[in-house]
Amino acid sequence: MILLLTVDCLFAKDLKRAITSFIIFGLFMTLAYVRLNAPDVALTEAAVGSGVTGALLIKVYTILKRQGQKQ
Amino acid sequence: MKWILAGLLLVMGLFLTLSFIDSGLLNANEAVSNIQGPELSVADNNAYYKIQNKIKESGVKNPITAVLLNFRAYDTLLEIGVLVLALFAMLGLNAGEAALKVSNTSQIQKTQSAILVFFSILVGFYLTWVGSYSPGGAFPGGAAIAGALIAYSFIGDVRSFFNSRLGKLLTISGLAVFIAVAVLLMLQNGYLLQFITETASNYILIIELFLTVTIAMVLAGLFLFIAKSDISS
Repeated sequence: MILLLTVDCLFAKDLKRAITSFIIFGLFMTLAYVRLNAPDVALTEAAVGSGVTGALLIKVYTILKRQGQKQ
Repeated sequence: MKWILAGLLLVMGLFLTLSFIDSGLLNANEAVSNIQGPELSVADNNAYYKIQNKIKESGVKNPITAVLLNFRAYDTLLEIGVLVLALFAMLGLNAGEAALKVSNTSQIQKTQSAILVFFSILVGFYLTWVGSYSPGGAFPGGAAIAGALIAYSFIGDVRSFFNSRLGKLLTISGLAVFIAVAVLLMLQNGYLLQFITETASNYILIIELFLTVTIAMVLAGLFLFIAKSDISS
């Protein structure tokens, strides 16, 4: 599942799709870290990797779209 | 002007990265020489056992916190330096621009954000506090509080808070306290960030609390100020 999401994230033609799969990938990584008995890394992955990075990517995406509309 | 700032940032980042690698190598050598000492000869060749053998000296019970803030505290110090540097560069790029107006949000969103802010801040500081004996710590705690700040940006003006004196003071506080403790410990014990087992837990808790504030400010700031740099370009 994680590998599939990685491939989708890297090769998706649609940027929005890539961002979405990146966020889902982060959440699955969180589960993987929990399974590996690393709750610290899981917490940080959920908060920073998935949450903050995902929010930043979505924001950048909207900015890019707005700039594209202006031109 | 922008490009000069950006270039400066790049060079500083490069230097910091180099010093990261350098300190990592030094610490690794130190760790290896420690492990080969007589009292640790029983240790398995496994990072977990290496840490478990040393953890009583660190003053905290959680191995991750012990590594981050005691054994490899110098790395963490430089990491925070990079974060603060990035935020101030972003603030510098956006200086002198008018604050954005508060986006028009519905009453439901406003109420929801207001409730969310309190709980996020509570959860954030809880995560930091709990980090000394179980999973948690300054990074996830800071991220939770950053979420609170972003939620608050829907109902109030957070952006001008970042530019105010108090905001800048809070942003720099984690780095300042970290450096102050490092220098204090150097004066007491002869080495930078050389913790003594008896007092280590107090110092680590103080550092963690201020680090949480800094990390929260930086993460939220990076999110909030991206939009402004878009408008200027």
